[in-house]
Amino acid sequence: MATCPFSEHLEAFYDGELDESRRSEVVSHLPQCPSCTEELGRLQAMSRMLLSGSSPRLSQIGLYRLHNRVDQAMEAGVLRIVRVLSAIAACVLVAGSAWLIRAREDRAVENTMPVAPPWADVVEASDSPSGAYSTPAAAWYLADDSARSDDSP
Amino acid sequence: MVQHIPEADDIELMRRAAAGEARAFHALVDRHAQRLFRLAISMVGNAADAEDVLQETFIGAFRGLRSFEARSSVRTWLSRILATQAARWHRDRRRSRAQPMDESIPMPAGGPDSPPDAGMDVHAAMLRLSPEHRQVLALREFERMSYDEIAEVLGVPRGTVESRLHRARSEMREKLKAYLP
Repeated sequence: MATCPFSEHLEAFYDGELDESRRSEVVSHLPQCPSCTEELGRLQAMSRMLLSGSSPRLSQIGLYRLHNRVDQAMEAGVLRIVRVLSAIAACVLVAGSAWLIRAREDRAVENTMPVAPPWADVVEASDSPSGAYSTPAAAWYLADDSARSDDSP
Repeated sequence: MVQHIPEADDIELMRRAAAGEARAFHALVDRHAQRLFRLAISMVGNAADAEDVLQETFIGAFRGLRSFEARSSVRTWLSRILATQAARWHRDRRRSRAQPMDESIPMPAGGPDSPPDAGMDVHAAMLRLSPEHRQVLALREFERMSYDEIAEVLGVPRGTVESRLHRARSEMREKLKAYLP
């Protein structure tokens, strides 16, 4: 039995997926073709059967469970943000504490160092006898000076 | 629990939900739950698993709220998430091999190739299709989606949708021939 050339377009026609020109061709063809009309009738019957078949509905308790689950997901999202923020706060706290401890140690080291300025020795040395000079340059100068005084007329 | 937000369309609800308004997301759940549940049953075959898939769908939607760009309708977007979750469900089921898919589906007394008897409903006939054929048929017949929308939901070319739909209908016609003219 030869198949009608329009039969391959029937499903697309039935689903409203044909362009306008092709659709009008099928519309004008249908009254002349019993096999295509029959096929179209079968497609319509199947759709009716599918839609009239059991139409399952989500029960009220199922809908309640669904909303509950969505709430849990929302809370989990908020908790995740809180957890991240807590982790960041903890990191800042640890880093800050370490910095404070380090700063206190540095200050303690500074406190153990002599408070006198670097030139204090020099000033002190100028009042001492020549052998007590701790600065080599000052000792040399004074030694040289005593030699000069020995040579003086 | 049911949150009625009248006169707000889906896109507006999505915008408000993305801004953190929980009530808006619950309204979306109420608006689409029944439709998606029916689609889920047609994809996974039973109410208990369909409910799980539906829950995962809305959780996925909630997590992806900010990624929604309104290029497609909310209905299509949710259906796409559902199809992804159903595919994952099929994959996990295959991997676990706890129970082959067809064993959970009520079969007519005469075996898989026999015509449906009087006790077999259309839903059971549909569940005997392959998951791919069942998906495309459900999206077309229940959701009245266009070929392009189905292609977007399933992530396949339009030509694949047409061929799968044709095969699904042929198989259904074969299974339901006793009831069809």
